[in-house]
Amino acid sequence: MKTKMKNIILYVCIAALIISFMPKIAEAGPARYAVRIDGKTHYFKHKPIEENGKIYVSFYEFFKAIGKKIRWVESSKTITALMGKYNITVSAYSDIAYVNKKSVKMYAPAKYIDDRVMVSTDFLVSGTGKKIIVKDYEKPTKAKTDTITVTDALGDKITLKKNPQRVICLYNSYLDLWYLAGGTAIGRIDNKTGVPKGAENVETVGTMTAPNVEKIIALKPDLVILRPAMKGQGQIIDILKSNNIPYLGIEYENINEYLNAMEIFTQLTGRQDLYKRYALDVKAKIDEIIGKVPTSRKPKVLLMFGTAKNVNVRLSNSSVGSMFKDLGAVNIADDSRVGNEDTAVFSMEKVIERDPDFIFVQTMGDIEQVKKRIQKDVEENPAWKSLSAVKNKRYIYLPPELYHYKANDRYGEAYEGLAKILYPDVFGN
Amino acid sequence: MNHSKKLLILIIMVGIFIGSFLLSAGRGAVDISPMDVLRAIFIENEGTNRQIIWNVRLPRTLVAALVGSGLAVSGAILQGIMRNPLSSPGIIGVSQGAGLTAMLILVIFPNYYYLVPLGAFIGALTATMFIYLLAWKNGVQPTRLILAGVAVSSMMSAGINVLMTLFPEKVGNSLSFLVGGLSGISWPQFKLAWPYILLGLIAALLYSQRLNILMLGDEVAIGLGLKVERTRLILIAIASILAAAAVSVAGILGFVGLIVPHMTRLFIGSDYIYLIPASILCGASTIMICDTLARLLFNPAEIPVGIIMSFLGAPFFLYLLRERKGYSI
Repeated sequence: MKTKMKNIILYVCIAALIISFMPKIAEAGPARYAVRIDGKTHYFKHKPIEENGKIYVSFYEFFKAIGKKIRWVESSKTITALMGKYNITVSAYSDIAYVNKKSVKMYAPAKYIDDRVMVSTDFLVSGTGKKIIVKDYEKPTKAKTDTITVTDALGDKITLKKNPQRVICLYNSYLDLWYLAGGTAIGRIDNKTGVPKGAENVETVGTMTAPNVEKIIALKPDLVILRPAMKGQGQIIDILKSNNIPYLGIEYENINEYLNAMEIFTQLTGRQDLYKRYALDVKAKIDEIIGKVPTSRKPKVLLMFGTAKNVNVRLSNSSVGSMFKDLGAVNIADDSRVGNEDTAVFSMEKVIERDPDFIFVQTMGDIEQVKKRIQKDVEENPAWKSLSAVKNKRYIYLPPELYHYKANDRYGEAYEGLAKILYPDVFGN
Repeated sequence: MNHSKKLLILIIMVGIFIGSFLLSAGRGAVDISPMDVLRAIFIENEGTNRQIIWNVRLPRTLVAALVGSGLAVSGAILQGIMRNPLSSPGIIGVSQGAGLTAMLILVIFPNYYYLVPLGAFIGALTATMFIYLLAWKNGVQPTRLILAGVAVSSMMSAGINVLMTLFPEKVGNSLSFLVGGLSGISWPQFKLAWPYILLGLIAALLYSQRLNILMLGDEVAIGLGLKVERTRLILIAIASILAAAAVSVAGILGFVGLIVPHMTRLFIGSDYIYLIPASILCGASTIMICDTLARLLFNPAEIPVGIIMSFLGAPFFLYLLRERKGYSI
């Protein structure tokens, strides 16, 4: 009797295991939603939906329709299409897809609706090259179009009303981005640099690290855009929450995060046209530049900030550092990374040993005025003087408007500028 | 403790000093064998090893020794004339004065960044003069002097905080100065600091007997024929020149000026004839050893030497304090 029970439990367990690893089998119900793929009509059981101007279809049904095998991992809600030559993997809620094991940023994160991973048709078109026309899909209801739901910089899912009219932005680079996305603001922080055109006369609400909460509340904003990691800004979120003031935390350092921020902003303003102009077109230009990079050379770079007095370096996870990485350069200080920091104090001895091809210096001030002086400092310091980058005049100052403040719509220009310095023969000068 | 025993301790300290010097010059982020180090110093004239040893490691070790001895002697003198174990260049405002002027230059006049060492020097001396004037009332009383120092110190810190709040974007440049450290040191910094520190150390050695007399209290000192006010002013000037020179090349290093003089006293006693040379040796050895660790622990990243000193030095000092009972300054 006992052994029988044991056996039954064992079988049940095995069955459960098998079921959980099996690909999701479509539930009963007629397949009635027509989707045309390369001119041939397929009927999907799962209803495609529209959200924020993008149409989402079931990943599973799409790849079944074009005759590909599919693997499903329940624990991570990850689905993989076996394309023969390569695989495409997508996880529910994630905006990172893996094509041929390389991570790809999706402009629209995968959704998970009724036990189905749904992805945007844009992603499927670019991933497979198929033409997709979805005829019958669930249009967003009226109530839904008024709001968007995004994942903010703190990892929280927040729902925001579209077309906010009384926006306060506590970070000037984001304010610039917000104006590019077609927004306007009623409050900004007190800082002369980086204020976009049209926002000069906007009321100020304190400084970047000490925003004035009372003034913010008094202005009755319907959205506060802030940078949670900035000292003094993360702390005011709780106050905004308790006053029912909607807020949006943005962090962006690299091109993908820029595109993501631009997407959120243009969704809020409802300006898909500006998303194309300032995100997709910028991305296309950068992809073109990266495509032309000669992959075999791998120039060695040292990226510093400030003067030659300290060896303060920025690493590949920093804003400009990520551009160098994309452009095929090797950051010689990358092994000094401790934790998540994007800066470090680097060993001067290692700089001499590794002898970089280029030294780039990020400054925030007016470099023209101090250039001569810094040049003299470097050339008089015997430790720096011996480096080939200094001898070959490859000690280069990066203009702050592109490389210290966020480049925003000039991102393509920022990439191009670095590419020209690194590979003058390929990119012309 | 008799004379010969103290002499023996001094000789041991010289040994430790030489050992720390060799350690600091011999070990670094790039592994170079002792033979190659010697070749790089005495034989080679070019090549990577020569560049690393001669232009990075050697000047950095020497600056570490200068800064360490300068701060330690400065602290020893200040603790003596104020007759207070808690006084040090960091606590009575000399370092903060240097920090405030350095930051003013970096934040408001960044184009004149090269004036930072000079500015720090002037700031430190101004702070000292300010403290001295505030404490002056028919002569300077040690207690009033240290209280004025603490007040000025907190005023200067408030100034630094004001700059940090008003110019958050520009602070980045100056943080490394406030934390202090020896990254990026080469011969120019050595050339800048050595005349002042050498001068200060020699003056401190010459004045050590008078410092002993001053320790007996003003009345006894006057009775012994010492010009108390003048001696005190000169000693304060020596202490602040030493601290200012150290701060202008290495930024604000808090620990050395306060703890090293006490550590030295625990070994050799309070007689300034021995205490000053011992502070020179201990201060220099402390920074050279700690800076070597700062360079090696997270190689190739460096951490500020002040962090190492506080982590290792403070427990060591507390251990000494418990072991040697009956310690007084």
